[in-house]
Amino acid sequence: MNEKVLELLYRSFDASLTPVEKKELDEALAQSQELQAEKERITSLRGSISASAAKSFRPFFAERVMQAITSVSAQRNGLELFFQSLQLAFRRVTVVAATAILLLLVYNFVKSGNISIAGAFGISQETLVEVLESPYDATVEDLL
Amino acid sequence: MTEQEMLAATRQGDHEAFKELIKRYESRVAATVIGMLGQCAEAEDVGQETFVRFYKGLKRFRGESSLATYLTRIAINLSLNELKRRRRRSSLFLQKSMDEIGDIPDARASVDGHEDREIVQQALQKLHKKFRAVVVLRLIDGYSTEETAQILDLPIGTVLSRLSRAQKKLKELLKPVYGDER
Repeated sequence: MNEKVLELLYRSFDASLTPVEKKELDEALAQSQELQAEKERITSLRGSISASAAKSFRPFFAERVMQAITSVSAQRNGLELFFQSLQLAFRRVTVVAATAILLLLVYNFVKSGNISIAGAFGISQETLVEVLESPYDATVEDLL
Repeated sequence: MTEQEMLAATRQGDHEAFKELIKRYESRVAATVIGMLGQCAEAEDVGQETFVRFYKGLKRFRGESSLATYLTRIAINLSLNELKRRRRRSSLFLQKSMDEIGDIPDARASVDGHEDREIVQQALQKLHKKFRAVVVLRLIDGYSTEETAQILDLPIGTVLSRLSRAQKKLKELLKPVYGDER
């Protein structure tokens, strides 16, 4: 069988042929009984494939899908709830921490009587001389 | 209830509407998934996953393609993923892949159309997945060549050549079954 004509025959089922191709195929079909038989075989094969289509899954498929969707939604809701509680808990921690820091700053201001950043953090400013003359300078012997 | 009404109701949280939608499109998804994977437990899992994915991504569906085409696209992609997983599993555990399972039984002993369908399904499972996908979409789902090309994101020429090769292979596979009459 002519390969080119056979290819045209296959293609004729799924695409429109040009007038020249169609004429060539029709002429070949008119002349060859073998090609006609092949056309019948392809038609029959395609019919069998189409008829082999499964029509459904097991019974109650829709119910099972809805169950899967519900469990996915429940999981998602659980996660959302977890993150919301986490956010709420951390919001409380943040407020408490901010209040504590504020109280500490006010206490430091009051105690140092000095409105400055160093005062707020309770840091006393020392000169280099004061640091060098510190009574706490230790010798190697002291450390040992 | 029209398809649009069902979609609108589902978007508003009406589960019954979505259930109706599943019933309406079950056969379409089943034909695609079972055509790709064969009649097995994984096929139903993929079928379920197709609808779950659609439900989760409902906001993304704007109706540019028909709902049937949209679902088919999800189903075919999930089936191809499942075939990849199946291949990995079979190479990991040295199990026989579906491609190697069983010879096609003799249809001359078949008593009804049901067995005939199974024989064709088995032959289909022996095709490489890229050929199987075009056969399923074009011959089982009944999409046009152009639609098949769009769903698989392939040029029309490729779809036509794959269809032609797939049919030759199927004819060869089914020859011992149906003899020369087919």
